[in-house]
Amino acid sequence: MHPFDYEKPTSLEEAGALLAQAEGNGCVLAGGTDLLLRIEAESIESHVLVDIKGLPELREIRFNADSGLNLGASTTLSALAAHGDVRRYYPLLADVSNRVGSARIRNRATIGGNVCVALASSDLPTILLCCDAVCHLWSSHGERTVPLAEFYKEPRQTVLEPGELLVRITMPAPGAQTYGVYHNLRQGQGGSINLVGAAVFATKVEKQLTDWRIALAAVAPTHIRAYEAEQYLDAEASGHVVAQAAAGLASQVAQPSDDIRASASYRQAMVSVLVRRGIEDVTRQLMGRGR
Amino acid sequence: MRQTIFCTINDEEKHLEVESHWTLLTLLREELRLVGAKHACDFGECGSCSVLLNGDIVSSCMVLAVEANGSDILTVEGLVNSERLHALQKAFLDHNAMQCGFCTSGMIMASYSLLQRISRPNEQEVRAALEGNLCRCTGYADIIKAVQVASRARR
Repeated sequence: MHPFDYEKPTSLEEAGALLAQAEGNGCVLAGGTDLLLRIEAESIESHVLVDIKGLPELREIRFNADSGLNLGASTTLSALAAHGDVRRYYPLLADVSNRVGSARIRNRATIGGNVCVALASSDLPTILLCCDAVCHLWSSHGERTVPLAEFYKEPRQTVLEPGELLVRITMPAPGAQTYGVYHNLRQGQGGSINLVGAAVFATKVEKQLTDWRIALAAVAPTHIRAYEAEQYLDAEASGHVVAQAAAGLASQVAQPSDDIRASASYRQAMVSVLVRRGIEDVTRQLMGRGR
Repeated sequence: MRQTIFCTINDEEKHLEVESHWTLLTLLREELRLVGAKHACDFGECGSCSVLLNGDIVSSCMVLAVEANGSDILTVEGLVNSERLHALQKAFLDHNAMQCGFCTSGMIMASYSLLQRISRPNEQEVRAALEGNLCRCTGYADIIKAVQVASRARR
């Protein structure tokens, strides 16, 4: 690894000042499971790493039935997966966190890092998108909020400005009868990079399924929601034909590319399969039978 | 940039001078000559550099030495208690759970971390704990057996 300086600020103001001082040559270090690899591979060069693990407010996990979940950006995936309130109110978030990488990765990798690396193949942003997650961005000028759905610009590119930090992610409390599933395909059991991922959520209100959410991983430059498919499901009565048609709509918004792991046409076809399975699973869970 | 860190390594308190771009693995192997943790893939994929950092299993190739400031580190060398092998080490020997041995210290540290959480793991739990610890010669059957034997051994 090339030499760099290391700083561990104890306040946001100090972190902001250090990043400003680095004039674009500074990087935020959280878990380091992505950043250190990129430095090692010489795909980025950084003069100073600003370690945000010393900032206490970034480590908080709080849940409140009215305001929902507040996740500090430097919460590790292990801590997220083990947290009682997360397991109870956002079981899919806990479950999928617990499937990222290996225990050694999950003990270091953070939820903020997972979101900020902006790689469309990662699993967790699909769940967060379905949960209406909001990113809270801090800079020395103040704090602003950006819905996760508007956070990504392109691969490795977010709306974060130089000197700005993702400090926490919040999401509203789920409905009493909200349920979600996540299906994905990898290359073999041990393969760690997603070929396709699909999260599907719905809420049961007065014996009807409504508020469908579908988010996709690894089939577009950034994570995407399949809004047309969601609206179609919200409007239609249940049934196998409807699930199939909605899955078809979801696959139409995917714009996958060919790469060494899978062809674009395979990915496109699999979006439809995984989304249909998701819709059927959610329906079965909430309605007690297939659509 | 040279920095001074303070940490506990295998129950010994240390003040160390490190370069800020060193990994914890570099510190352990090159400076402290604790060569149990192996330098292999260098990107957190293979598990052969596994150590415990404040009780959590981590890849020491993916942690900077400066990040370990103030931490408690346990390496495979720290498992030996006055020249007596740990039950896991003994079980690995007794059950031929190694051939070349390169992955062994990582396997043992991941198993140790498991036994801290679950004292009598079933096979599935052992497999889950060793996920990401790669062995390219023995295969995994004897390793899993050795971990289960060790979990039943009285220390």
